[in-house]
Amino acid sequence: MKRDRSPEINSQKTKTFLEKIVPLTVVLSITAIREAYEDYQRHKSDNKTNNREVLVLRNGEWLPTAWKDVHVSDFVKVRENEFLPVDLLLLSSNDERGICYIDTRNLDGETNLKIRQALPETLEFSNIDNLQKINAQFACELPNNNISGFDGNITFEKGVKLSLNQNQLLLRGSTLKNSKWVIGFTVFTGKDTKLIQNSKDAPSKRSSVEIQLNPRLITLFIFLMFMGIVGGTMTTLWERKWQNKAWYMGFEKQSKLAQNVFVSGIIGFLSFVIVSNVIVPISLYVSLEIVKFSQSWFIEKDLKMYHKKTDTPAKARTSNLTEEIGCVDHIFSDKTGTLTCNIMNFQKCSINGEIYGSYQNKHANNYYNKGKGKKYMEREKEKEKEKKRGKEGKNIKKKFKDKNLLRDLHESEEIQSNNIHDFLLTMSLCHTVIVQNDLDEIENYSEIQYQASSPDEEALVKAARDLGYTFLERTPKSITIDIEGKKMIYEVLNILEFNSARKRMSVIVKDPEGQIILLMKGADDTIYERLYKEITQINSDITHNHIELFASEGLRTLCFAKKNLNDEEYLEWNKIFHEANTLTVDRKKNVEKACEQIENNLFLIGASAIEDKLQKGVPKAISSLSQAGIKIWVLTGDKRGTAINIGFACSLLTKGMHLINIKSESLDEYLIEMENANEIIFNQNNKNKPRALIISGKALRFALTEDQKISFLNLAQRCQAVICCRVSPIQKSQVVMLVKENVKESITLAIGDGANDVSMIQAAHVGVGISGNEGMQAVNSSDYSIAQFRFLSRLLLVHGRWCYKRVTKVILYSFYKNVALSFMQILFGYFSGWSAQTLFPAFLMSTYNLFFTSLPILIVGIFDQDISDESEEKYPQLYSGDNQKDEFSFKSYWVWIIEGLYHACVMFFIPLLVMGTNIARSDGKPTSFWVYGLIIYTFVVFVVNLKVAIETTYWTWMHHFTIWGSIIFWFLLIFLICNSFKMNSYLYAVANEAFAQPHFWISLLLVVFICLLPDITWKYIRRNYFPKDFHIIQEIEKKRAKQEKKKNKFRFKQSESSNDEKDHLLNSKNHITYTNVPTKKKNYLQGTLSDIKIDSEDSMLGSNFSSSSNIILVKKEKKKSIRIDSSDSFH
Amino acid sequence: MSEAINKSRASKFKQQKLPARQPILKPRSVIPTMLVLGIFFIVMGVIFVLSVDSVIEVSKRYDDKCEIGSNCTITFEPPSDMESPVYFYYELTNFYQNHRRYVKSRDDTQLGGEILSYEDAEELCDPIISLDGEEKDSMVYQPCGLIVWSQFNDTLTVKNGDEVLDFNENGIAWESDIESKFQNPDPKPDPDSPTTLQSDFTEEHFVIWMRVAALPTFRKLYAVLENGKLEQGKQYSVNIENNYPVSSFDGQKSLIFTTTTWVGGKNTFLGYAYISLGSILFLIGLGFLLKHLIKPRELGKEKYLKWE
Repeated sequence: MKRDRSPEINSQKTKTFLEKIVPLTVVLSITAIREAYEDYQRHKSDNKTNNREVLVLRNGEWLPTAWKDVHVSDFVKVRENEFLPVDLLLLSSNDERGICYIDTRNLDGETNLKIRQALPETLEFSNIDNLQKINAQFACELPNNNISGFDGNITFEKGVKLSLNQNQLLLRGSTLKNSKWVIGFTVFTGKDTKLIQNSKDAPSKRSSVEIQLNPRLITLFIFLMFMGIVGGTMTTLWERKWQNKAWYMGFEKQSKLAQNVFVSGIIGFLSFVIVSNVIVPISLYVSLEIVKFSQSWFIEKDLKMYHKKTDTPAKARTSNLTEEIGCVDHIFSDKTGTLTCNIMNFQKCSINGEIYGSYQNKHANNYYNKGKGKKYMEREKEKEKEKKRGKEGKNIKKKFKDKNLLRDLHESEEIQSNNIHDFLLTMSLCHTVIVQNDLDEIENYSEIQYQASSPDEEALVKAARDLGYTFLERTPKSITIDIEGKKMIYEVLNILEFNSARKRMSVIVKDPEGQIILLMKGADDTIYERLYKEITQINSDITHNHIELFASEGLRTLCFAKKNLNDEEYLEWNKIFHEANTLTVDRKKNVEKACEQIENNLFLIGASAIEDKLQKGVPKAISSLSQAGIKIWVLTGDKRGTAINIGFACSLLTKGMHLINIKSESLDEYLIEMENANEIIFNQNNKNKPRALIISGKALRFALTEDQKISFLNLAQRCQAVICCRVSPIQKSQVVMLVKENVKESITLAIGDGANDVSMIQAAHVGVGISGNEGMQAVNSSDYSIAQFRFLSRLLLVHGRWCYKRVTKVILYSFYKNVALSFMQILFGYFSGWSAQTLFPAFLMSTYNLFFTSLPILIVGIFDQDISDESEEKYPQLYSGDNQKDEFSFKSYWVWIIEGLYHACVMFFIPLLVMGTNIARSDGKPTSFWVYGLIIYTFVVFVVNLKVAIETTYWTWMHHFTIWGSIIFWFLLIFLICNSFKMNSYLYAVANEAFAQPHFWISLLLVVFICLLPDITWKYIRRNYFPKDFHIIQEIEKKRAKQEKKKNKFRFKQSESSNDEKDHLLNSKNHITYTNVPTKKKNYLQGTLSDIKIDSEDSMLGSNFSSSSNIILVKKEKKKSIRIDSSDSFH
Repeated sequence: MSEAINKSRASKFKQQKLPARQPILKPRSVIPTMLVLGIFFIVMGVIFVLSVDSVIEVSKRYDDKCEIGSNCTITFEPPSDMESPVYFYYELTNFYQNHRRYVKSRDDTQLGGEILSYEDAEELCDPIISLDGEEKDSMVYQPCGLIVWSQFNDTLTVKNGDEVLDFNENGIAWESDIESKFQNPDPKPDPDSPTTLQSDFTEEHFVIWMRVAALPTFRKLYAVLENGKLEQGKQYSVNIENNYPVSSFDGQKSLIFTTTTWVGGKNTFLGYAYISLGSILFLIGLGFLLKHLIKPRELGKEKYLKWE
């Protein structure tokens, strides 16, 4: 190399351009790579769906065809348990009447099977030959999002025109059940299907912090422009004044252009903008990408959000929103499959005024205990402990067994025995369940698989089986049951089916002895209306109380009633019923009427209570989340009653709550109801009473209109809980949008598991999908997926809070450090003739954010924890308590910016005063410009890194490594550079000269302390005199850690003397007496004492060695805890 | 089902449970630190002030007493004995050596002894490139650039009566600069050639001039009295060959004689800054202490939580 040319500004323009473009390129490419990767993942899962196969009629045979190749007008054959790939017009099925069942869980969240029936005229198209001969014209509505309606017609060549409705339409996303196969005609495919019409394009979401980032960046940009303009103007003024005077500048030797002061001004402006450009931190985006990626990674690795049973960890499907989950204030939750496991258990019953079953809902009514979170947590802990001890067995699908019930059935006086018999009979006869297995293959009744249209029915039938009344077989005319070993055949005369208007179902059967009985089950109000009124039924009041009791425990209740019929009565009625059924006009109405005629004068048997099994930990999670100040809305396609029940069960609703029901069918009604509701709300007497709003989908339609939505929202915002029942998927997203758009600064989160939740998951700021089940649509469109609802509280309270704090810290710090560096340029402008000379070598400007100040804040951004996850979960109030959002308010932004400006001034002026003009060196040699710049830059490296240090609340070895490492690295690098003439001629030997002088170190100490003193003083004052909640909790944690240490020491000491003590403990039961016990603790001690007794007695039963050694363990533990407690209370 | 394929390892890192310290600003640690640091800074400050106090500095402006192009003599009297080493500086004011156009107008490779082509010089040395602006390699200034061109060229001689004092004009620049950064080219530039702006690149006044100053008021070392002393009450004179014009840019020229201590020359700023900082620290510490004694807040009590 002939010559190395790297003098300071030789090619400043190209250099600064490169310096600017390289980080930008790096930022953009990292973002692009991440986006590409995420898109690829999405593409892969899309591909999987697209390439699923289904049978399509092609060239005269059923060919397996990929979903993506199914076109409108194809004939498709779907087999049992397959997903429907398109919206299909049902032509025929394996059933001769053309009936098939579909599971629409993914569409509307409802779990009961839906019946679809082909038109009789199309039944013949059940084989290939007939299908090929088909010649008809088909017309239908345009693609739309109404999943509960369809309009179309089909005209055959003979001119027969048949109208079609949703009964013939099988929707994409549903599953075929209980039917071997169906054949259909493709109506809508792809994005025309009602499922997709109901969902929206996956929006690319940006967190609100990121959105708020923009105005702040713009402020900085304006600041930069301001500095540029000031700099440029001053350049012009300076040059105009001095051009002819400062001969040493050689102005007259410059070109004409360079002599023009206005050109100089423009160059000055540009130069100032370039030299201060770091003030708009591009590198921030790289830091944020890395930080957020790490956060997402931690979320995915968190074992406390890992669901063992389904082997599903949490998944962050986007890394954009990590900080968003730290300030959620509205949660919109689906019910089925999200809050519940969708498993029903028969838990209790009340028969003739007697309660059987011992279920106790520990969670019910917890809503009220908000304030007493501690007690609640303790109880939870107790329970968990119990579980660990294995005292409480697995509670999933527990068989219902109650010795009393069986004893009463067999032994008690006739009335009760008969009642129980009737009760069980109703359970095993009055339903529409089908047996799936072949009975011949079954050895044990418990192996029987039932297929029910609703999980409730299944639970009832199974409970009856467990109590000895086994439902074995259903034929169109009869039901076979096994009553305690005897097979009985009941002739089924009529089934009066269930629908939501009737809210009841009854069967009329003839028992083996020839007696005709009507057995009925239904909602309590409908049954009570129809009881025999001539004689008061003594037990009806008691039963009613029991039903209330069950409901308050969050159980779903059903009433059972019966009535004996004599033959004439029945025959007479059957005639009417038959006539009504064969009517062509007003059939429905007349059938209804006929039913009313027989369903009366009933005798109440009792009531059942079924638990819609909540997912584990849901009530705790909900109470945590609501303590965290988050409003929870439950949006469900389910019935009002079910929704309310679940609301109670998951402690969203509580007994003392005022429930505001809105269930209007028309706008007028709605307005009246709203008025009433507002009256209740603004009534002074009710002011402090907790309220809940329950609104149905129909009423919601009125509520969501432009005129009404704000008043509805106002009402909803005044309620502690909101439940929307019977809502359609698109309504779910409308509700989310309503809150998102109209509640200022709200962050919404939607959680759901089914395809019907997709639209709301996409609409909300954050979408969470429940993974681990079959349907993946919700998960695929979500931002986070978790296996269980209960993980949501950890996701928000722990990860969300941490991430928010970390991300805001990274952003604000990034602003601060760049302001500090670039503001010095304008200060130096004043002293350098406004010439935009850089104070530091240009390469130090561009590597500032890369080498010397990037890692510590990254480490803080990735690892910082102001308080531990345990505390975050223990004190959910922290989530919103400290006004989290303040941390990224404009106020705190300015605080950081001003701190940056302050530090810039200190770091600039102190060296100026120490060595600017004066002789600072002891050897009298003068310093120089680059020495000055390098010293200031060193101050910057120190101060800015120490600022991270005082912002760090969680010091791991990585923090030490990066913070001190950055400073050491600076010294190493600058020594290396300064000792190579080739690398940088103008810096040659500068570092050696700069750092060898005592005045440098003396002023370093001064600068560091002057910079950080206000910060530390403020931090101290705030902690000690205006503490925020997290300060207190940090202290509590510290205290606890100390106690823990003490305890460990104690344990260590104890183990030394353990041999003696073991004997001592074994022999004496009153070992506690030697500890010094304050009176207050006595009760507690007695409690533990008796506990120990029980433990030892238990182990006495098995008198082997291992059990006795168990005693020691138990005793030791107890003793320790007592000691610590008592010592604690001395303080 | 229970095969845990997707389960992550229970490592402390992944579970964010790395061992860590969480220091908090407790009164028990903060107050003593503040007080001790306060005292430390005050003591240090006093030491600095006392050290600087022993420094003697004499400053004489001369641009207003001397015509450009003439020879004049400035006399001064040390207020007390100035023991060697006595440093002799010239000071210029309102001279923007740190101006962007000025700072960049040099070529370090040329100063390191290389011969420069016109193209290279043009790139870096603008506007002082070549004699009469001729675009020939041979016409390139030796060395080129504004800094060289505007070199300080007054000659200063310190005398005691007629006796020239033994002020050493060597060993005043950074050793590294003389030894390696500045090298004479081969052949040495002809002192009589009109393209030669500096015939000896390692001449120390030149080297010091080439280390541009950070601020528009600056002092550059001219010579050092290594032996003997300047005595109190004696009249010393400085003979000045006054060549360097400063009046056009409102500048001033001064002579400075000073001794130094380990913290530098006559600059009391550090000392007083230390004392002030120390006092503030001490007062804050005292304030905290009083507040803590009068009305302490118990640490880690749940009753302080807002929701309790």
